[in-house]
Amino acid sequence: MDFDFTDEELLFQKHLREGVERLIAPGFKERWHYDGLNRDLLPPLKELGLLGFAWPEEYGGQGVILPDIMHGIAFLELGRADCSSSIIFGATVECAEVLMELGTKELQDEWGPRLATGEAYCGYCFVEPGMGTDLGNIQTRGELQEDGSWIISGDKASVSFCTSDAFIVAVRTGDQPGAYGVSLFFVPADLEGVSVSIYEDFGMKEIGRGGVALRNDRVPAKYLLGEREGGFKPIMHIFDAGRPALALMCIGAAETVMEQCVEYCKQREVFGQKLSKYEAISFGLIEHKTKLDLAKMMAFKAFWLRSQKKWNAKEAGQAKFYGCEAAFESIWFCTRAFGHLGYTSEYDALYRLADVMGFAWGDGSWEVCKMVAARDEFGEEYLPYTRRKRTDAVSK
Amino acid sequence: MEKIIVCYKWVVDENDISVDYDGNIKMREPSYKVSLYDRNAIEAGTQLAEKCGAQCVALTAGDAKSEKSRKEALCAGPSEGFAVIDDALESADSLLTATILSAAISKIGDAQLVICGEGSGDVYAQQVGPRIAAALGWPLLTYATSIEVDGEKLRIKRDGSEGTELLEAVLPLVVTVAGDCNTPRMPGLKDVMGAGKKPFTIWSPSELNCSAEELVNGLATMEIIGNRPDRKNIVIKGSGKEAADEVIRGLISEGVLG
Amino acid sequence: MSKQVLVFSELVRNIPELITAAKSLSESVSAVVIGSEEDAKLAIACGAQKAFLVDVVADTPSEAYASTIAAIVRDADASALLASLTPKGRAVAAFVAQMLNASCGSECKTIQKIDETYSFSRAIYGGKATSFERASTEVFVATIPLRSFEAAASDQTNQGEIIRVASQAATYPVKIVEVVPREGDSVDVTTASVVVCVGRGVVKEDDLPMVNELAEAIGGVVGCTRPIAMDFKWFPQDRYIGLSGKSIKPKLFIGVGVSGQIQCLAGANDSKVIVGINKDENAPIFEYSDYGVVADLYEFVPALIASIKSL
Repeated sequence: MDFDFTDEELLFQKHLREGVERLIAPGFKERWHYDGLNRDLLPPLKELGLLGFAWPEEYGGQGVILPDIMHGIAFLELGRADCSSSIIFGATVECAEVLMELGTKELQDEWGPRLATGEAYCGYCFVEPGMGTDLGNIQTRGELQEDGSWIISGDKASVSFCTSDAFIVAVRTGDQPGAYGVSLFFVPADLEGVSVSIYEDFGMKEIGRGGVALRNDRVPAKYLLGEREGGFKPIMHIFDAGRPALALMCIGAAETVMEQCVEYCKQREVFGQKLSKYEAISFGLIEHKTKLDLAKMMAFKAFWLRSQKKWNAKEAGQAKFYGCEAAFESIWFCTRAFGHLGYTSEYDALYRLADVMGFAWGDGSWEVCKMVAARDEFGEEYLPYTRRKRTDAVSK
Repeated sequence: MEKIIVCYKWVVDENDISVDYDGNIKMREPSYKVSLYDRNAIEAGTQLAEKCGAQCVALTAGDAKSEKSRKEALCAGPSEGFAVIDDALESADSLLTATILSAAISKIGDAQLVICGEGSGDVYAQQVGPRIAAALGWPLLTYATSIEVDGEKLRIKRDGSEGTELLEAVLPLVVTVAGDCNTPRMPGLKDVMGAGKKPFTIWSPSELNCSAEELVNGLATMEIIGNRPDRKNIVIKGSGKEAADEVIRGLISEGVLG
Repeated sequence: MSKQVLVFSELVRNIPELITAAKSLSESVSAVVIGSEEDAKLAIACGAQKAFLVDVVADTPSEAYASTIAAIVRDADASALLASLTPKGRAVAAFVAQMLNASCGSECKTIQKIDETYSFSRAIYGGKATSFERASTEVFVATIPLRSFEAAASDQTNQGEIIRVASQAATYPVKIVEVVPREGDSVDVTTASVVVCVGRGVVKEDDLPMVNELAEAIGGVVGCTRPIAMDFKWFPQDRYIGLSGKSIKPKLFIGVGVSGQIQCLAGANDSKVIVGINKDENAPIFEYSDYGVVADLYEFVPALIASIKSL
């Protein structure tokens, strides 16, 4: 076992930490009040060398895939400064990997150059008003037309980056039950029947979470991603990276707040002693730090398994539910340690708390993560539903 | 111009150094890094090499720890690196360091320009660059804020007491760069992954053409003591007339006011 | 009779304090003067036994004089050369030191000679520690921070010899082609006895008049921390006080919205009295302050100005 990062991973982290401190950290509190996808974060992300992964060089991309551990490091380091920046970066990587693996050459040529450089941005439409966790229950329908195009209608909810230029949309195209009937499509946002509404979230305000309505949108065949009714696996594959990534992002935010709190407690005095001397403080801090450290290790293990092409759904789920909750609790503890001013905009703490809270739901609620991890660890008897079987129903 | 040599030092990260209440220095498993201003030197050398089609080579000297500097120095741009390693170099002063580095520069050969940072992040003596010039017998120019090549000449800017000086120089030359002369580039993933594949040669001092008399430390450190601030630390809370008057009374009693 | 100690500064006005420093090491002190005969006479009036007068060659950088200075030190068989800690002084000192195979103490806080051996102390690790070192070379070079020693008084009865030395500077292959004057800045933070330092707690450039008013009321000048000069450019570079900026030793240093990072305080730590004004009670400056005011500077500075004016 080797618990150290490699030299390259350490160098990557070192330079990123400096760059993030210079380019992303300043102005966090002012930016936090944004409402919609904050594209102003794209140029600094580009300067940090974080845009264009998985896109070929001829599209203006980097021509390399970001290795898994470094993917985790990037989420951690960006999360230290601004969770939104972390997700805005991460989504570009997912988009590139999905479109390069499953997209048609025409789609890649048409959109690759703009997406690789950050000129255009792509959001994700999976969840719907009627279902969240139960992804197999997608109702948005796609009907195949004679000319090979598809007419897509439905409502999508909790769309990350709903003010994007395009979306990757999960659509039911077949009659097979549940997930087996789902296809993935690339849908430009400027189609007539596409309309968007931004939620008033209490945190993560720079990513523009909202709803997207699709009304009879004609999507050409070249925008089908992969095989029809092959959509579920890529979505799950995204989560296998996304879950530990988000855990690391939340842990990064918590670590920053904790570092501020540790310094504060060395200075602040009560009853003639520095706060740091009291065990209510030191024990509290170390308990929370322990949980953050454990979650961090689990998240990197989940990435490591992925890098070895091994199944990692359990570890990914564990990292997410444990890490995000640990981050939430430790930020809350530190906020209280700051005293009454912790309740004000003087300190970052409540902003970070609001951001981190979003991941009780986002990209896999804590509950579904526990479900998946329990199933993997203890067996299928531990699922609340029976897994559907693929039928021989033929799609139209 | 064929070759540019940039010199750097592998130093303790000053954030890992703390001083306890008794004035003892504490360094628990400190991390090391390329000294801050040397990164400006590496960036300056890399930029110039890119513009002139020259080769930029990194050079350092130190004890065995300095071998770990390889990837960090090379991912920042130079195509090749050299290090003179010996445990005795841990306590080398600027005289010894410069003697070693200039011997290495001669051994590397074909360099016409040597670029150094204005001073190292740990001791900030600001001597090695000028000393290398003397040891090589080359002219020196310090605290450059910009370096441009114009045919056979170099055009250099720096801040003087009267204003900004524009200077013209010919090669060979040793230049030290000011900390604000550039912003070191953010290495991309390819630079980071490729750093370990670039050549990095390690020499011991005996492999350089130096006599034993030359390899001598000019200074010996007797003691290092942590600095604890020794101030009154009187705290005044309040922003109105009362607080202001209290401060003024204090300053008058110190004899610095009134 | 101990060997000579030579002093040198490219700014002749620094020579008197160097002479004081040199006299603490040897009775026999001489000066290297790159300037006019008047400058050489001043050095002698301040106590130099000899003034080695080197002619100024137009359009040459200070580095060009190093070989001449080294030759003078060699010929005088001096045991030490003290130079002023200006950027040019540092560079020339190190350049000369290597030519003489000499060790060099940079930015010496203290300097002494015991039995012909020179020792000194200086700050390292960004100001966190002090290193005590001893020289083992035959010749020792040192750079001395400005205002560390009292300027030797000029006494016309002091006698000395002016020795003209031809410089080799004309053949130096680096030339100054042009000097573009900086926007006039007559303020020298290094010589002021009271300095008010602007930190990032001052939010807008429009807020500076309030700070200027404080400086005026208290008889001081305004300096700033690194980001204020280098990033925001509210002040020219030579007002910035800090590790790689100016080192100052005023009677009174007032940090207005200065957080007190070690890199800034390293430039002002030798001030006689430090006052810190910051609304964050955990700001590091309070550890380095004699008087720490935990207050909003926008309220306190006007109050302070009013109180000073009513004195």
